[in-house]
Amino acid sequence: MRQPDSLRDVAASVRRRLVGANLAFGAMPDLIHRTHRLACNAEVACARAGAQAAGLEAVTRELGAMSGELDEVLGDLAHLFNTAAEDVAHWVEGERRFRVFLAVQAELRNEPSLLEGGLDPDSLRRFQAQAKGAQGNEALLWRRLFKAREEVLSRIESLARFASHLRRTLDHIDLVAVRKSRFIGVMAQIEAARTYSDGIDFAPVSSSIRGLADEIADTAERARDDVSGLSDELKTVIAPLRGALELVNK
Amino acid sequence: MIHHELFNDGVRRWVFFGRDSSRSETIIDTNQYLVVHEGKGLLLDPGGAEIFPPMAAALSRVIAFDDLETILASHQDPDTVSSLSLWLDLCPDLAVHVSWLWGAFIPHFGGGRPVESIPDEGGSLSLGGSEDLQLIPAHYMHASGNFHLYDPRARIFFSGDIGAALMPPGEEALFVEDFSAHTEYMAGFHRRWLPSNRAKRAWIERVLALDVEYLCPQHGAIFRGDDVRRFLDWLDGIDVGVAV
Repeated sequence: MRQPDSLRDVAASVRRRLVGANLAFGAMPDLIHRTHRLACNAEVACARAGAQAAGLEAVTRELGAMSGELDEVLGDLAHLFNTAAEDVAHWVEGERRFRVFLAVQAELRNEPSLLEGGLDPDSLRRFQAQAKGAQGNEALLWRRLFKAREEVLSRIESLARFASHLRRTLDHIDLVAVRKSRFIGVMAQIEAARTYSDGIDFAPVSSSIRGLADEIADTAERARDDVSGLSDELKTVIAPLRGALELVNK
Repeated sequence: MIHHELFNDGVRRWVFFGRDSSRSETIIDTNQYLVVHEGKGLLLDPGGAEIFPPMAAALSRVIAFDDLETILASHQDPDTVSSLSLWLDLCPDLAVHVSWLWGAFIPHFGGGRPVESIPDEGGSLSLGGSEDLQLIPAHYMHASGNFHLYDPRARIFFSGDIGAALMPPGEEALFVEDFSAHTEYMAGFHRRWLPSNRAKRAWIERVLALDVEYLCPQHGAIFRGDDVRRFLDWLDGIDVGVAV
């Protein structure tokens, strides 16, 4: 069972994962830009190849479409990363508030803070017993404690939704960019060979497409490591937190 | 943290909070004051975030959090009011009064809502239906926008950082007992932190016009009776703004 101390550690670890994922995703716009530039180069190569270039034109179209599609898949990720950073900041602040109100409660009762654990069944039972009998200022403090915990949970759940979104985005990148660009790269190679000297300008384009596909795959893989870690960390705290709040609310 | 009742006439009460034995040595000791009128509370300089747990617990023994109506921050220092967001979290309906000069700065302590700006000339502060609490301008004493509070009913003057003394460890007296010896703990602070002899003189004249039994600073011991006048004379005689 997670304790508040490790909840704070999880927040720090989540922040590191987010920074890692943000850096990995931050490389994507440059890759999209390069895909777009490759599409332009392919178009020039097609124009040079003239009438023989029907197959190359198809490759060029595919390349252009792929850069547009990637752009769409990534969407407004920068904004979503900002929201996630806010969620982590509020999580840490909510955690601080929880501890401060817990300290007030302990001062008020003139006893050590028995809820340093906070989420284990024994602490929860004592938590419930105290909250149940509380009146006046003490009752108000319990309400603030629960509120601080609910706010933390809501921020963590929001982060978990973001992590799912990132995972779906990575799947999409895998499908659109990696597989498709590899396929286009092969097509480009075949077309360049088929058109022989007419498609000679297309050879460097086809090798660049393959290189780009590998780079996109590497970047996505790096991001996937952080996103998976992020999801796993969040999962370990959501269930006990939710369970604790449900139990206390009963 | 101890609390001590300075005044109680059945309708109005003044309660001192401070001398927190659990306080970390890295933070300066502070005094907080609660004025209660007809059961409603005004907290003067609620203190820093670090002392919030003992302060909230001590206050809880005197008044219901729901009855805390107002906070007055004499100025913007962190030891004065950096606990603001925690108080607002605990008592969301609290009104917070501070010099207009700090109106856009104080919300940086958190809380997510605007504060009530006090105009330069001061005025009265309502509490539990009473209107006699006076906001006394104390600009440049030491902050450029600064207010103290005078209660003519209790004859208590809350003087923020003026009269503050950095007492050595072990000196825990609530009231000044030996004024001459006490000046040693005040001199450095007042000479360095007050920037203007002119502002100091204007403030002294303002206080001299009031009938004050207790002069209550945010740090150190409280002046009572004749020591109030002794303090004003001492302050009048020192040169301030010395670090130039």
